[in-house]
Amino acid sequence: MTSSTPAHPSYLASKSRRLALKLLTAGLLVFGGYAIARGLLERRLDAVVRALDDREPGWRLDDLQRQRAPVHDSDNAGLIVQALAERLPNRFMQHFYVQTSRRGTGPGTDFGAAVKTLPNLAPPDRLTPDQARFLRGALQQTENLARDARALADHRRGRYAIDHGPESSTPSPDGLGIRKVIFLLHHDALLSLHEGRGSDSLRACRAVLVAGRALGDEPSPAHQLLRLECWDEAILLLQRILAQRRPEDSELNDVQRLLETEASEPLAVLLLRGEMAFCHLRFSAVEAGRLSLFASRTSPPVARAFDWLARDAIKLPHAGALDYLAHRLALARQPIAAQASALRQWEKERSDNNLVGADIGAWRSGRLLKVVQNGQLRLRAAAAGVAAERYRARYGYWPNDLSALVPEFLSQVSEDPGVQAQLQCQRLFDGLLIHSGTRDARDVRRRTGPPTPAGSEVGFRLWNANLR
Amino acid sequence: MVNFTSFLSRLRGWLRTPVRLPVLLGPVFFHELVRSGRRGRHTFLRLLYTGIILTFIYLTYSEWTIRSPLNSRRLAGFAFSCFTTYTLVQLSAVFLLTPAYLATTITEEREGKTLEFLLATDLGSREIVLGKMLARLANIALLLLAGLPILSLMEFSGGVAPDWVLVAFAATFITMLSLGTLSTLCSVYARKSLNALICTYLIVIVYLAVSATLQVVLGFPALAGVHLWAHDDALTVADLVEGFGAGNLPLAIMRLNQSLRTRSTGAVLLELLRNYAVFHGVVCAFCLGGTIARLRPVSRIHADGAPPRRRRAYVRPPVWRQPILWKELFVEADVRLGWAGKTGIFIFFLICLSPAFIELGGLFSRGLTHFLLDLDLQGPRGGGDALQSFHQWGDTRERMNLWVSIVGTASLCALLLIMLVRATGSLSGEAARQTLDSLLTTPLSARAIVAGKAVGCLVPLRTGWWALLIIALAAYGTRALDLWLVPAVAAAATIYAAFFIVLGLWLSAVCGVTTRATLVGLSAAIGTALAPGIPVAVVQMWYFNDQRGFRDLAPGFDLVYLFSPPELLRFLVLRGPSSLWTRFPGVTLVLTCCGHLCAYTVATIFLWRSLCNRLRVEVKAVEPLPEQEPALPPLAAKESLV
Repeated sequence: MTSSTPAHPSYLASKSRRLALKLLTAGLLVFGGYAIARGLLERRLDAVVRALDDREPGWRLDDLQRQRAPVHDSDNAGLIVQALAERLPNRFMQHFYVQTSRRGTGPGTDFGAAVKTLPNLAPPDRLTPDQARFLRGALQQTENLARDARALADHRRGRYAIDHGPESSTPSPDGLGIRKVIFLLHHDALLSLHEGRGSDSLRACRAVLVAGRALGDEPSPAHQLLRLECWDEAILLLQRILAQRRPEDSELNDVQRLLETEASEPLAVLLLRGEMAFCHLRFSAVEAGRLSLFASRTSPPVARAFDWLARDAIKLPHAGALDYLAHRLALARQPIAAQASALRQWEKERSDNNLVGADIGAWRSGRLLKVVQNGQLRLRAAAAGVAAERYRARYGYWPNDLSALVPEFLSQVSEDPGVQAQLQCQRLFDGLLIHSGTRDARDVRRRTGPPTPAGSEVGFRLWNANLR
Repeated sequence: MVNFTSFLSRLRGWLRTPVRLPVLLGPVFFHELVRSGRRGRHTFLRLLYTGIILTFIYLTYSEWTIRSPLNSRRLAGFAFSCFTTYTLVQLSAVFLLTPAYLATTITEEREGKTLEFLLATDLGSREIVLGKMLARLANIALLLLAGLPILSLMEFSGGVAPDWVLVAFAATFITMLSLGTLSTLCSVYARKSLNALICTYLIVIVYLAVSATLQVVLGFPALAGVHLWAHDDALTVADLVEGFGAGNLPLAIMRLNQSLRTRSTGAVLLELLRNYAVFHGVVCAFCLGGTIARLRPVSRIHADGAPPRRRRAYVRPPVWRQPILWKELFVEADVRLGWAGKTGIFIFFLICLSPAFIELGGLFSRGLTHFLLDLDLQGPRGGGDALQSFHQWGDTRERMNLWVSIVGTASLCALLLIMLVRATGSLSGEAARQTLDSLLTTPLSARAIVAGKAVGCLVPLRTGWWALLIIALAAYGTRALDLWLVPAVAAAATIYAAFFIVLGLWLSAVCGVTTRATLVGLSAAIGTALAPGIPVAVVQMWYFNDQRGFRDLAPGFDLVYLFSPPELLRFLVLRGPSSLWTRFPGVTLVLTCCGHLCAYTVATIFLWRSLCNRLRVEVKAVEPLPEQEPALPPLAAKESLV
């Protein structure tokens, strides 16, 4: 029996083998951990999507688009708005003040001051002669367009041709031209009011509402928020018209019906469904690598690595956000009276078992719902305000209470959708204020949208007839 | 009676026994003290130290007088500023010199193969350790006291309270003791002086970084207030963190600085000194006890040749045609630091890399949040990239560039210093092991020996090269570093590496002793970094009463500072508004850099030739005498005649 000494490896072989072993172990640890984490995330996301398929069939964007009601071209206000926008000059809004004020720089004209004060006019403030001349000059070339735009008031439905295209991009809401048209209508209404054409200004106000209403059941939340801008614009115009003119009862009745119809739209459900569909679309695009979060033509190489990491990092927020939005949608479908208690109960359950990513859903849905609730509050207050104006026109004095308007002018006293409390009216020394009794004015001021002139932040404001 | 008689006899016997008092220091202390006192370098070092202090005080003076002349109202503030400068220089000297002096306490004996003889004498471990350590500490203390007259002169200006002076000196000596005992402990465990030196600096740097990082915990009251065990009076996490950070000098200085604003300086000063003394007292006791207790067991392990960590045996490749290079690569390649040293290095590089990780992690988090909170989940209107409007890459690039310019330059300079220190111990280590003569008697040429040793200095820095590679990758990934600058940085680093290695080898051959060569080498390295400041200071003195004229010349000094290696490396990496590229024509900068690098290349060639010549002379000195007829003893001669 011979004993043989074990053969020792050479220095370099030993070193390289040891290095390879270390690298292999490190690689196995890193990639193994990564694969396990990725598998868990995918499983969690699949579970949420399957649950959503069972609970809310047809929740994806393609299904939502298929479910939309068709609108005939003759009824379609959206087509009119888009046609008007195309006929308006490029950069119409940006050049409106600049070019006209340049043209008016002659002796005796002070368009600079007129332009500066025009956007901040309070509802009872009348146009100065310079402001009127400025507007007349600015709208001179678009007179026919303004007349056609006012014709929108005769429509009630609409659908914009929005091609959401590939899942990684959505056309900008600016591309629809709604902002251009309501900008035109706003200034046309100002001038009409100044020139004593009250019915034209009221038609312009209704046309603004219809331009937003033409969005119909569009699922994109970014586009639906334009509708809220239209509401704000219409309410501002209405306040101004009622502060300076005494319209006919029939005209006021038309406006009131339109406001009430718009306020009764289930916009919260619509927005939540759209938000859910778009979240899934975008998150899926990121996970599949079709949507890049960091890399672009000018970004450094590390951006590619970030994109690669983001594909999996986004799965947990994806699952959490979808789960939250689905729950929130189910709550939004319940009657308003039952929503608050159900929401409190569910928030409590959620805080006990908080999912990563649910906060994203909460933040996104909370922001949308807040805006919608504020908008609906203002619409309902405006509708009640118009009813109060009709009451004043008939009886010669303001109502002491909103219940005095029921049922002659108002079917029922509306509620603030945020806190389920009835709207209230308050007599002021120069008019009437309709507001949510339990809401602080600061809550209303926080809403998004363009800044509003003084006196219009809280609910809806009316001025005494002797001041008009 | 019998008992009383026996008691008396026992007492008499005890009294006759020679009483031996416990020896604290022993003969080693006096031997070391006398031996080191006879060396002439201490005088030079004292002169250098006082010169540095005076230079910094002059810089402080010029800073105070650059805007307005110094009057009696500002004199007290100026004196306090000078005192601060003096204290900082003193503490820096302690930090730099103490490990350099004391990390070789035991390793020097071990490398000279005299430790076994020392341990075989009647001396106890305590006498050996305390004797050698205190003698060297005494040398450093004498060096520090050389600056005392300067401080005494400052007292005439007022503004410096005596308690501040006392506290400053107390803190200095506490730091010196603590660092000294730690260095000695490392010296016991290390096989080579270089390992001990690196290990000491690493432990200190890691402690400073970790204790400073842990202070973040104090910003979270919920975490800081957690009791360590279930009792109301129990220590909290905050107590633990503060206790651990009590020995951190920069932190203490920051707290003191904060207290200057609140006017409660006196109490804070004493409290900080007390905590500092307690912490370092514990460190001293632990290190000293460990050194004394472990000197003999560790020496036995080293003498037996048992490696500190068992590794699988392997066969080295056959010796190459360049045997010195082979020896440096396969026999002396590893700087064996043990697990503690490796962990220290790992933590150190983790701390260096942490700003980049934080920056990139924050960017990723911000980008993801930006996307998740975007209204239509795509950011810009109509674009394909979700974050086309994500304009943070520019800021990130700028911050990463700053990080690369600081951390990259610091890492490169640290690697150059390690190369230098290894080179300074290369030939002197052979001499200490008594193998240099054997090496010189081999048929190898002096050039081959020097070349092998020089390449060997590059090998053990693998961790450093990895770290530099990671820094470069991070810089490239974020475009914080222009690719065309990489060859320029590499060329500059190569020239510096060659210079410092050859300088270290030259010093090693000239000085003969590793400690001396290391000290001189480190001083030379610091000198090369600070040298461009000298012409600036001279010009400033020339314009002593004409500050406006000096300010007119000031932009040109930025070019002079390029002659400092760290500054040149930083300049090559840095870009943005603070970069010199924006202030000077490119041709001027390129010519300046080329001139500087050419000067270093010439110096390297000169040192190389000098070193080779010196080794050739030594080869001649050890050449065996020509063979002669052996002289026969008389008896043998007689027998041969017969």
